[in-house]
Amino acid sequence: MNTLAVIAIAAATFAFVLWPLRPGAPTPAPDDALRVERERIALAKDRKIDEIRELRGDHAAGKIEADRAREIERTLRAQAADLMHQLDELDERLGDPVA
Amino acid sequence: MDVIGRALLLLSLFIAVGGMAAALAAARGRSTDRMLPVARRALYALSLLAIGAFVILEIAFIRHDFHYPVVTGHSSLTTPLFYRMSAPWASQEGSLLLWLTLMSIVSTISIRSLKGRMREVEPYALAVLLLLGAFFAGLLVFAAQPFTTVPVAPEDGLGLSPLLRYPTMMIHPPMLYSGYTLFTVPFAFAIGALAAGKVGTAWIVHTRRYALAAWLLLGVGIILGSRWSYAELGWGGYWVWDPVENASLMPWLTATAFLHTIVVQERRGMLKIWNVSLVLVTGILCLLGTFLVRSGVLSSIHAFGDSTVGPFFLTLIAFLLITSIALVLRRRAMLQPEGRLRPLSRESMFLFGNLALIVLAIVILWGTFFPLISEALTGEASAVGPDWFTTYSTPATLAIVALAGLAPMLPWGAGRWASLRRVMLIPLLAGILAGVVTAIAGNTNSITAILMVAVAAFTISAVTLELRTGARTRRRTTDDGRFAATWHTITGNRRRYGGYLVHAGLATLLLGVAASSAFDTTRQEPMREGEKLALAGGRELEFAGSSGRIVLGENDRVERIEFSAHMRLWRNGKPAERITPSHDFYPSGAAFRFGPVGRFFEGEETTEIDLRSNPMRDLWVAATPDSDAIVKRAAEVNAGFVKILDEQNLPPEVAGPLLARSLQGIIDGHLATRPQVIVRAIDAPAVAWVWIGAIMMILGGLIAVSQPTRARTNAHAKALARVGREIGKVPVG
Repeated sequence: MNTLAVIAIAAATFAFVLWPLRPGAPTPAPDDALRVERERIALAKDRKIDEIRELRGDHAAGKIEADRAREIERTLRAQAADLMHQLDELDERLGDPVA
Repeated sequence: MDVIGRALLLLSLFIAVGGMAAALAAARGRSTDRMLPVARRALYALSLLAIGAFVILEIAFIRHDFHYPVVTGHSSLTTPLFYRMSAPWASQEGSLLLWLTLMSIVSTISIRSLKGRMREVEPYALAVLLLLGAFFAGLLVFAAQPFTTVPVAPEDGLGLSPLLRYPTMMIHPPMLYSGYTLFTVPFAFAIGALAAGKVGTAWIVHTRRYALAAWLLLGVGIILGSRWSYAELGWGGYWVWDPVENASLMPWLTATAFLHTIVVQERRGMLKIWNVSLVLVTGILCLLGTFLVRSGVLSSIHAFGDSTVGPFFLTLIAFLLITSIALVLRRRAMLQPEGRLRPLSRESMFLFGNLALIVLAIVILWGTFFPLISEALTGEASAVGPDWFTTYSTPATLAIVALAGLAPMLPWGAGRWASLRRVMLIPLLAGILAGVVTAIAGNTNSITAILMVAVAAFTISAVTLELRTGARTRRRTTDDGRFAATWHTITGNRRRYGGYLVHAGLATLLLGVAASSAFDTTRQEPMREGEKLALAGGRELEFAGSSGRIVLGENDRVERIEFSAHMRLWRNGKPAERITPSHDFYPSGAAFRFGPVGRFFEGEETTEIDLRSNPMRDLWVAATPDSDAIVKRAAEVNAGFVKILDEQNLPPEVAGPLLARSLQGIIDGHLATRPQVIVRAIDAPAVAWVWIGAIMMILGGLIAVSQPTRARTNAHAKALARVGREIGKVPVG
């Protein structure tokens, strides 16, 4: 009984692991890389917006002067805008703009 | 079931090695589209196989299956179910299996959550994770086999060490191991990023949550261990710089450093070599921690004995260390900073904090391994004591807590002295005031205690002001009330404010440590009935008398014999509370050596303390009877019992009650002498704040780890631009 169970477990395990090697197994869709890239850029854009909010908080708390805060915010906004352009381009290439 | 258990482990080893080969083939670009899924599935299968093996071992413990020596060695018929379920990880075999199970589950989650990201890094990360899987599966197959059986099962087991029969010990090791295994994910992805030459921030973004969860669980494990030490070990302290304690603290410190400087890399593109080195060092320290616990190379209060797995661990650690150094050197050109670090900035404070954390970790590493170092140099092993650790760790600890308050007060990039002076004024005054009050009210000249309290007060007030300022800013731009503004400020940036709560918790913990270590009093006296022991604050502890009883466990078998000391606490001349510490004798399995009666007093002995705790002070009381006298009396009764058995050839139904009467006779005989007990009473203020600080740190960690990692919106870029315009509504200046 034990031997049968061991054989069944081993067979099931090997079948599960080697399943992708069977003839005709699907390969990843080419769009996947673009979607992954889009997600990466969207996250980077979110981080930039967080940085801008935090900068404003620091300014409100008196940790950073207005002229310096303005200068940093200009840079961060430009970077955020650049990321948004990249998102637009990717959406066009994917042909599936997320509304 | 033992055959299936062995087969599952052997299969785990095959699958892990095969999966690693597939992952490496994918990394080298050989049929990547096919080999990568095979490697992934090998990891998923490994986790299922490990879970299966672990369940079989648990069932063996729950069912008292003494065919397994591992069950016999760590459980018995009187071990309660709750502790039988946790007994597997008291054994070396079970703990290694737990490591493999947790690591494979965590690795599976991390790989499944990739969803196509980091295609170049993933094969290498998989190879590292499967290498670790293969290592632990190999240990379980060849060096520490949990499913070895004997043909004839003993009637009873030796039982779980009574010291481990404590509720938090059920979860303390899994917490530590979860922390260790969670950190294998950032470790594997760091190696993968270096090997693939993709050293940007993608691997950090993916693994940050695992690093944070690892830090959190490791911290919970350390605190649970500390609480166990305080409430169960009978010496009255919560930290003794034991090698096993240190083994878990070192990776926690380096993980703390890593969690701070990855923010600098994400924001400023700096400290890349530092970060990748920290994550590699932390991963290796996690393995070193397991090695220290399991190898028996250093003596410890957690002594798990010598084992055969030490050389294997050292080989793996050496291999990973050399590989890590080689990879960092190979990619050093890619790891150059993208900006310049300015001294008066938040990132600089993060770096200074990092340096203090690393200095602290190095001090602990040196002290922990000093016995081995001294033996190698002089031929004689000598250890450094808790005083050495305290002396050398205090400056770094003070710096860490001070920087935990200072860093949030500075902006990213470049701050200015004028702004810092303005923001820092109130926390600085709070720190000075707290230090002065401590010196005067505490009537102490301990500079360390005064500094600790001052630094803790500085940091707590700095963090509180940060939150207040954040909430106030929010109230200016929204309709939120005071409470809602505070709540939304925290939930709007959980990583940041969770981190601040951790900082406040650390400072609170330091307050507890400072007060409890500088103002504690310890009294240890032999006491007879009616005698009193004077304590601080006009209190006295009176010893009113002893009692004893036989405590039955499952199946009505004798679990232990308990002697209690009945004490009365007097406040200002009036009886206030009853305090009842006890001392327990657990039976030995060696009846052939100590006899049928004597064995009940020849197993392990434990002291069960009575602890009275409130936020102001703890009263910790232990009482130890004259064990030698009890054991001697037991040996005499045993001799008489054996003689009667031999002469009269008593049937079991007569011998059983006679044994019970003999045990009760030993207890009554001892109590009839109105014996004295050795009483140890520790009266320490503010110990509760150590645990309150720890809970604050855990809560802060939970808040930080709950920060969403997915992009916040799926809106089209035009909508995103609108978000940008929304931000622009409030102009700066």
